Amino acid sequence: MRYNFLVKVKIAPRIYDPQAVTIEKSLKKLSYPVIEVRMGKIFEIGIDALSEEKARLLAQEIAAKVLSNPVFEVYELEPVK
Amino acid sequence: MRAAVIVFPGTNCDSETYEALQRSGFQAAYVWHDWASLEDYDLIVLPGGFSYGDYLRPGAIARFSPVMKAVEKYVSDERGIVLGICNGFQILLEDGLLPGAMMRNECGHFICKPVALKVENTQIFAHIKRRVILYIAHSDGRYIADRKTIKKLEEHHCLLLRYEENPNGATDGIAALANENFTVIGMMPHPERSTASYHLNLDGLEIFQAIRRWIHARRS
Amino acid sequence: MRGDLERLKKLSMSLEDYERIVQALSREPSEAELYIFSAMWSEHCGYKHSKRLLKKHLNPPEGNAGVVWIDDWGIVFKVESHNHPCAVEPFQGAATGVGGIIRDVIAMGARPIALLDSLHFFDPCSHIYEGVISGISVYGNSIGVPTVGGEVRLDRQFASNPLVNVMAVGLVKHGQLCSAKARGAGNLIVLVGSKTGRDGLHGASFASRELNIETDERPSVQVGDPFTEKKLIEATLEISRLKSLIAIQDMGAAGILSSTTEMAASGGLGLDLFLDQVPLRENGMEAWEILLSESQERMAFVIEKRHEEEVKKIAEKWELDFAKIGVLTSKEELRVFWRNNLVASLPLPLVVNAPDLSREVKKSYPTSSKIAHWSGKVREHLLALLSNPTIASKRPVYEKYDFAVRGKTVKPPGADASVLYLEGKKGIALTLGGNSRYTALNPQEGTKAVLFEACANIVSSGGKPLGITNCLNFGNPEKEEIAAQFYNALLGLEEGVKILRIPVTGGNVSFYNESDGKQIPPTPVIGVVGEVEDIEQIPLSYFAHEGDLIYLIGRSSVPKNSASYYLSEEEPAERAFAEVGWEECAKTLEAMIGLVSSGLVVALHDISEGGITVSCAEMAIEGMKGIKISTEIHPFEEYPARFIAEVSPSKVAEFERCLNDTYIEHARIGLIEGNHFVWNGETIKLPDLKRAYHFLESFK
Repeated sequence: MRYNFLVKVKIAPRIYDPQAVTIEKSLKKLSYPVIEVRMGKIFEIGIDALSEEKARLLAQEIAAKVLSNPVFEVYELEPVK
Repeated sequence: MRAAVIVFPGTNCDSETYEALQRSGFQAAYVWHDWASLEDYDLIVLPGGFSYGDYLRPGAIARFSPVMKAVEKYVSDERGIVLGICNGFQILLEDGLLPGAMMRNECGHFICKPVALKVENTQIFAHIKRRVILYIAHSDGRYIADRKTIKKLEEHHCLLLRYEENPNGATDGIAALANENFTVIGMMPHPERSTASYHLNLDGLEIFQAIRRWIHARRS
Repeated sequence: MRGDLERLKKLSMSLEDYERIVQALSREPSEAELYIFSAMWSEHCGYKHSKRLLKKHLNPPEGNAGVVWIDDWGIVFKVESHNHPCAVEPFQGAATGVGGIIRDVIAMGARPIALLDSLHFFDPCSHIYEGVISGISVYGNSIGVPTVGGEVRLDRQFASNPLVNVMAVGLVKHGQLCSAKARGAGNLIVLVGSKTGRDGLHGASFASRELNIETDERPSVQVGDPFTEKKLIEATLEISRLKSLIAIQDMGAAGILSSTTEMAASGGLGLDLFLDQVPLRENGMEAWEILLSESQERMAFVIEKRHEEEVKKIAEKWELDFAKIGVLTSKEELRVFWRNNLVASLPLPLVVNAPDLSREVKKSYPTSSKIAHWSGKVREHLLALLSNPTIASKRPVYEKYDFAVRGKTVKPPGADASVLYLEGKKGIALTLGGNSRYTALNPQEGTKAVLFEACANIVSSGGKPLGITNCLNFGNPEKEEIAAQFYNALLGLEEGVKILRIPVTGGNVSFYNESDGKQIPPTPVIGVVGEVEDIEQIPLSYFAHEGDLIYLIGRSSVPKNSASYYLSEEEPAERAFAEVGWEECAKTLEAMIGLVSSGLVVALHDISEGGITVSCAEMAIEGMKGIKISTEIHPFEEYPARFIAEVSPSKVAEFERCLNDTYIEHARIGLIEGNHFVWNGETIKLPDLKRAYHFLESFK
């Protein structure tokens, strides 16, 4: 059965991200009340598994081992209907 | 002395790396990414390029190739030296054979130009010039690692080359480093582009020859 | 299907064309057949307004790209435009432009070794400018082909109609050159590469009419995948070496349809296409969509029947899709099968030979031999010229391109032609350029000037021009004025190559570069490949030694050229191109080649936009050397085949003797001395010149 997950990978908060900073500055310049901008990627993955629990464990492994690099990225995992 | 040049789908700098190795006194051979074992090579080189298009992250997919399992074993068995150049360095970082990671250049775009590098005082490069000029050509050369890692690298004299003028925001201007045993080397600049008489200079030749001497020294 | 005008307009097909088809077939065309003609008879595929004239005046050889030979090596090269896609989506337009021209080179069995691009924009801060440069950078760098040269020109006239012309160069060994000519009925047509989707649909016909931003439906943007392209390059080169390989064609405009029909037609054969065999990446695609799709990174091959496994194996090694999509037939017919139906059955010659709409519109454009004079200071004009975005240093642009990958770059971009290492002592010199100011003023003389400039670049880098490619960018050819520009530019190119005795090996035409009534100036872009006999004899492009002498080689006293950069935008009534002594210019180029090979010249730089002051300034800035010039020669006037040379005092006598022997005009104008740029007693500081010349650094 197919189980869908959203994996959000962001550059870790402690790492200087010049792109995000530039965007933040530009938005502020446009007078938006923006406090902070962080950047990342979103992956939608559909996993074929026997149960939701099994699928979630696989999604977690994929997120941690392949989709993100722990040296400078953090990830969030969300199941999707 | 035998050197392998590993070719992944998307590797671009294989031919000139092969030629550079031949010029430096190695007998070079190409090794395909899905060969699961490595013959008797003194040096394994992962050349530059865009393996897997640099999709996901540079080196992130190539590190899962069958040949990388063989490279990991080559390293743990201490069979020789592994040198990763540019994308090759990125693959070694993603695979965990070297500490840290590469991020996008601070300026946000690709840079190609010759840069001056300070050669740190290390065993491998003790007998070459103190300053070399080599090409960089990358969009993801910003080396990062946590302070603990950097400190450890410094203490063990693992930092090999530093940019005189930091072109990409790399931590402490780090351009090349090695593992504690000096059996795995990663280098963002391209030594292979400085080995022929018609090249910018022969600084790259000095680097390859120093590596050859290092292999020799380790044997005896 | 009736000749419904609305329908035809959407397909960019004229009623005349529709009626021609009905007459030729003696029936109405089916839906698929109508789409076939809308693509194959579009300007982009059919070359209706140019084919006959190109054949008559340039007569380039047939083939995906042109070739010249240096010893055992074939240098394959061609330039192509991707203007309309870049106007819509700059990044992908530029990226796929690179992809397409690379595939033309590998279709000849040649390994791509260099890229050059001629870019024409208005605003260096614009989305178009950034997008195009980024697209070329990302795609070219990813596939590992060095971008070694080209130009970026900024002019108001390109604001809504950017020009993006990309030249690719490849290397092939004698005996391994491939062609697109099919042979042998019963032999197979196979596809290798990406899956087919709806990319670029209506692209071919889209490029064949003016853009109307308000009302046009945007076509599906073609998206490039450089990783697949890299794999395709390797796979194609491997396939090209198979004994069973007969022909190769790139799938570009009108994808499967044009590539397969061109291969069959060139061999005097017909073909059956089986669209159900095409690997698809989208659902519910119609027959015409599969036929016309411009999905990138696909190649077509004709191979000997029963040998398909060999090709399949290579495709699998490189993880590319493979499919047998057709077979050659002896009858000169195109038959298309889909879902067990014959959806199109057409005489092949009718499909591949679009009606000829070209016309010879003669027009004379003024030239003048009135000598130009200058009095007064040069500082203000010189600084303005150096910081003119068209003239200023493009280092911020070419540093985004990997120009050294493959390790063969001997002379990197920055001045004149770039040089790549070939073998032994030999090198290949490359250049690409197009000065639209010249050709706008006088298409005929201007085109010759562009050609001579390109050759002068080759010579300055120690090369001898071997062959020419060209991309002719014009507005709407249905308009009389544009047709005249095109015809006269063609005549100019024909005359120029005759004088220089260098062949035109191929090229490309891009019409309809107009939008909302605004048109581009006529812009022929010319690429030249040259042979460098000895890479160690390549002169420097900057002043090197204090005490060396500086010479102007070529005409000293030149006529006023209204297209010269130093002249203001608003021009007086009599605008005229300079009357040029072309034979004399050709002799000067010839003499320079000799001087360079005799090692008599330390540094050499051709004089182009901005005249002698700009050339001298560029050489002084790069070499960080002061110079002292004393001359009456016009500081800014532009005229073909002129050079600035640095000569060592020890070689001066021999140098002058060589020039006197060949009656080439020359003048000693100064020497390398001190720390400042001194022109007839006026002192300008080098840092001031440098700042002006590098002003684009702030636009990174």
